[in-house]
Amino acid sequence: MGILTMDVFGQIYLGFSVALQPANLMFALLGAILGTMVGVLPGLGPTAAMSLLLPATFGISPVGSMIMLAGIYYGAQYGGSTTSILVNIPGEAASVVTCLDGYQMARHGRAGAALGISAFGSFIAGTLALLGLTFLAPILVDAALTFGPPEYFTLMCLGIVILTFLSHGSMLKALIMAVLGLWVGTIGIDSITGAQRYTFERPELMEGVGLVQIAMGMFGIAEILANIEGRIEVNTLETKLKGLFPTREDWKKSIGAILRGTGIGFFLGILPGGGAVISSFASYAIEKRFSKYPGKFGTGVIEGVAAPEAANNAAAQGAFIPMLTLGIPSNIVMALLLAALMIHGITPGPLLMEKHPGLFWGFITSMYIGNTMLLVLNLPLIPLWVKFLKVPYPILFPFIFLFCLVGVYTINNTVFDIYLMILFGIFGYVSRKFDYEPAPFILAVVLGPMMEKALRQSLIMSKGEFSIFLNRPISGVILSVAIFLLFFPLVLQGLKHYRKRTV
Amino acid sequence: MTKADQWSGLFLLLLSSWIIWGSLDLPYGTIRDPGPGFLPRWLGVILGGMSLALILKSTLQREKARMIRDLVTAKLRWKRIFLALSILFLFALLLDTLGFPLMVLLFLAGLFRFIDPQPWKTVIRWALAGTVGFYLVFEYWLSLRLPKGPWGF
Repeated sequence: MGILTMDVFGQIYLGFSVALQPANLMFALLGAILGTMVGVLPGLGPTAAMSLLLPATFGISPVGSMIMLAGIYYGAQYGGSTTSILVNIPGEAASVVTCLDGYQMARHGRAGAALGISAFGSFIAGTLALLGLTFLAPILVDAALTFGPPEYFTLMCLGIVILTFLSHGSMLKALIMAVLGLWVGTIGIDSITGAQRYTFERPELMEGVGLVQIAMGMFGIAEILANIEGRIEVNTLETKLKGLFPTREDWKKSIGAILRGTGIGFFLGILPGGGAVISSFASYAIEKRFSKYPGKFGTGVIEGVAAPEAANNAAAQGAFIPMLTLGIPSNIVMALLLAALMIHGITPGPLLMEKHPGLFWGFITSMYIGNTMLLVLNLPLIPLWVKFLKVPYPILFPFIFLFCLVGVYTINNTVFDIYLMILFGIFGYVSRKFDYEPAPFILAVVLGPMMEKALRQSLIMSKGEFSIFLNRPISGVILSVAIFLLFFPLVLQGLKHYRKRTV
Repeated sequence: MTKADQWSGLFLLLLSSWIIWGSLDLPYGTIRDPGPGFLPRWLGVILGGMSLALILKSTLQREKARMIRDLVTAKLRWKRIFLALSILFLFALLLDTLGFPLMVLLFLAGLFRFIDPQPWKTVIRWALAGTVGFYLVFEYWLSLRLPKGPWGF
């Protein structure tokens, strides 16, 4: 253990020497600012922004592009909370819960304290989670080296099951979306035999349906369609933003919430399928349950801002672990980062740390720097972000549309991709109307091709015996958990039914 | 067939049949060495089963369910959605013919004017500013290859 820690410190030193190079510092700053901006703007989240800039990263170094794209990701978490608090519009999904108490605090003239605690809470959570990432990653890499196709397959199954288990609506519908996503993942040329699947002989579909086209459609286009259908009234509170530094009383109330939120967020972030959105909901629910005054939640309680804000930032960091150590992206943002690495010919996975230590540690340490930049930048820049929000939505949304269109066109320079994006936009819009969630679909599209390969390799290994997934200890445990989660709601429902009858 | 879930279930059932039908052309392989048709076929079967379950569940459901009627006639601004989608499709259709700058100008002006109508002065000002801005950022700064119109830009 002693040697391991020494080793980690050496690596961190290496990381900082990479991350502190002027060019990389600039990329971190650029990412953090861009991220905050898209986080502030409703309808344009980190996914769309990262997809948009992905083609532009061809020209910069792999470390630089990773640093900038990751900056957009965690910057957006900060920015999203600003709009939740000031105008009751979550800039992106992970900040939905922050609206509940944040906006109420602002209405009571405490916007400054709410923004302050959200920034400090995010910073503390981000830093603690990064420490976790720094020390956990090497240990997990060792474990990951023993993983074979059955372990990878069951782990990805678990990811999808967790996401559907934690979804708000019907689990059946979430599972349907996941299966649909897995099917979309099979479109294109089969990587093992070269057979064409569901391509309609279109050359554009040979390599499969692009992730960016799907993500921009379902998150960008669908979101704007939902927004223009109603009328968005943006009422910025005209309160003076005094007292951004939380008082001693505020700190006393929130520090526990921040630490709990960090723990929950980090843990859910590591799990494939978990992530910022779910963890913010979970931590809010837990704070409410264990509070001395649960009835006050929703009226402007500072813990109700501190906990989810800490959780979504911790989750944002935790999610890097499966991507960096196993090469499994646990959400769409990680999948985009994975794509950025692949553009430069680098395959993430257990060997990444060994083969590209400069990239691996430079990237991780850049997030310490990025987090500090955000804390310093964000508070003074809030008035600027508020000005942004004053641009009326009818003026704003055509620009967001245009960003999506240009972004998707520039991937392959083909109009076909635009059609594809619009199609997925319509699909996303309609499926929301019918209460189907987009998240399981997207995760399944991301994991689909990897899952299929792992499944087929496992079956070849075992000569067609499905028991291979249960006989190997690690995959057996993972699969059992997945099956338990899958059937748990059914058992629960059955029990309720039974009790009703007996009473 | 009045509930929203019955309709979405039916659609998914049809889709799953199509997925299975498409997978029949692909080699299934054996369980010892699964072919390219293996996973799609099973996904189609599972999807079909789940959509049947959904239809059944919503048909048997006694408590209040979402009706398809509510979804269609709810106070939605269908006209806006339809217009916005048409403008998006037109962008894709005409981009290569008209070239990037002109298309962006028309696209922005169309959305400003027809979705949530703005006065012409606002429309022209923002559309022009947006076009110049986009052109500078994407063509010059990021130097992306964007389609040119017959007039060379």
